[in-house]
Amino acid sequence: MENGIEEKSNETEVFWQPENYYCPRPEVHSAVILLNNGISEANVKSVLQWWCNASLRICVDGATNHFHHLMWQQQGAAACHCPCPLPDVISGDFDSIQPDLLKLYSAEGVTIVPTPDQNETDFTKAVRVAASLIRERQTSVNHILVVAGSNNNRFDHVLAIVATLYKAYQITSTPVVVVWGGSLFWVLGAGRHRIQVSAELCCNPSSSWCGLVPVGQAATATTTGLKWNLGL
Amino acid sequence: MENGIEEKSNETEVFWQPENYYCPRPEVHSAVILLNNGISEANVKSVLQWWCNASLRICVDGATNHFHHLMWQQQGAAACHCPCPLPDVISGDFDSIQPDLLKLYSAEGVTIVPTPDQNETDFTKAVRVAASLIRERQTSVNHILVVAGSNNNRFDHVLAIVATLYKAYQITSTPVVVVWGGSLFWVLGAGRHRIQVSAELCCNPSSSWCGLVPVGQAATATTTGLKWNLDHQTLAFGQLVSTSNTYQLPPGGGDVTVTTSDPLLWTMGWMAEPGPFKRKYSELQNGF
Repeated sequence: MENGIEEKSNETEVFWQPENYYCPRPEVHSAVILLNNGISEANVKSVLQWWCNASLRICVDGATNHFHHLMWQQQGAAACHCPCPLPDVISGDFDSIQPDLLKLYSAEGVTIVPTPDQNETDFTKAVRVAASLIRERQTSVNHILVVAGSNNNRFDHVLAIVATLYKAYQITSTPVVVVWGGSLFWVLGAGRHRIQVSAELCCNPSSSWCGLVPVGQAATATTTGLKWNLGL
Repeated sequence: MENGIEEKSNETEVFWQPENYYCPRPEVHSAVILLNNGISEANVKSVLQWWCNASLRICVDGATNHFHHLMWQQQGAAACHCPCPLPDVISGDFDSIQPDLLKLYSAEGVTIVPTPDQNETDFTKAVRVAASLIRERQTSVNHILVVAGSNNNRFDHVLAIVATLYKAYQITSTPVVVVWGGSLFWVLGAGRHRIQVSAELCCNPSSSWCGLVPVGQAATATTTGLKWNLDHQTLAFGQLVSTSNTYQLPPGGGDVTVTTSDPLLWTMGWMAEPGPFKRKYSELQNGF
């Protein structure tokens, strides 16, 4: 089964194609969520590509400020080769978005979804919003790509992102994949998984690294295809 | 008991004074480990202060390159007010340190400890080296401060740092505390903890955040002194994880208490406090 988990059964193998995440193709529909901790300089070009290719675009709170700034930069530089669409939705508790920007985007037709509940992070709530829209629109979305800037002052935010991925696994069957600087990460549920790795990724030492981390609880695992495999 | 866990008993309260970590004082002995992922620009001044104040200094592999570069920069800028000592030890599998630098520092008397075992990270092995030296020298070291640059390309490295903290808890009774950009974090073992938070930290929104994260397993916890306290609640990935929390303490600062059934990762903001430090730093200078 491709990139989806319909049965939480040990018999179903989940097939992952990460190239679909970082190398967007029009026939692979994605949702993109921009998180509120900046967009890495190094990733700007890729972020714009992912954004333009997406079927659903969400800015979380102050990510709108970064997005707006980026749009101005791009217009100036004439570097954006596609008309960069506005977000479909801006969600969050709105404690960091510039109030004028919120008004401006709202006037431009962007759907504003306040998510004031302080018991969940803006990111978790944005996943709920995305899942809800995906169900509503009945679009087939292959994955939700989350752009987490690599703000490195708040370690609690980094762990909160991971925590949301574990929550997301209960909220939606659409995979939620995070881009953090030069890293991709997502949760593999209990069961069997097959992850397709392109030749280019394998050859390049800066991208040919990987890891399996038992974040919330221990796990017994067996792998193939790794330099240091797990299991018998 | 101050900053140590001698009995893994639920009856012993562990007392933490984070100000000892980011605001070094000569009477508080520390070991400093520089990890191999750069030194944040914003932290350079603090890192030098921690380094100069330390009783034991370890560079892990390529951290030596960053350290060396920093020393050249500092000499040029004449900004370093103290003679910046060389590391006591350079450890690691040496796949990233510049070979010439390794020779140079070795010739200067730095102890080189190769740790080639690929089943543990260089950081984990450096903790073993530090623990061993602390035992050998019988110095009383209050804590091991680990400077993790905030290289943000390798997420596996970030998680590996956390993994090492959990290992470290089994390797040594000396607390191992990580500085990562504007964040501090360390493991609270099962039991009771009291964390002293200074007034300056509480007042400043950029440093008054904190979190309790059940990395590795769920935990049931009770807290006081936080804005969102826990009352015998279960923390677990997939359920409740405490992040973006903050303090509810008197204006003069106070203590956060945490009682937990299982290890938890505690993380908080910190800030360089130039005012009080300037005074203490000149004491340091006179000591050299």
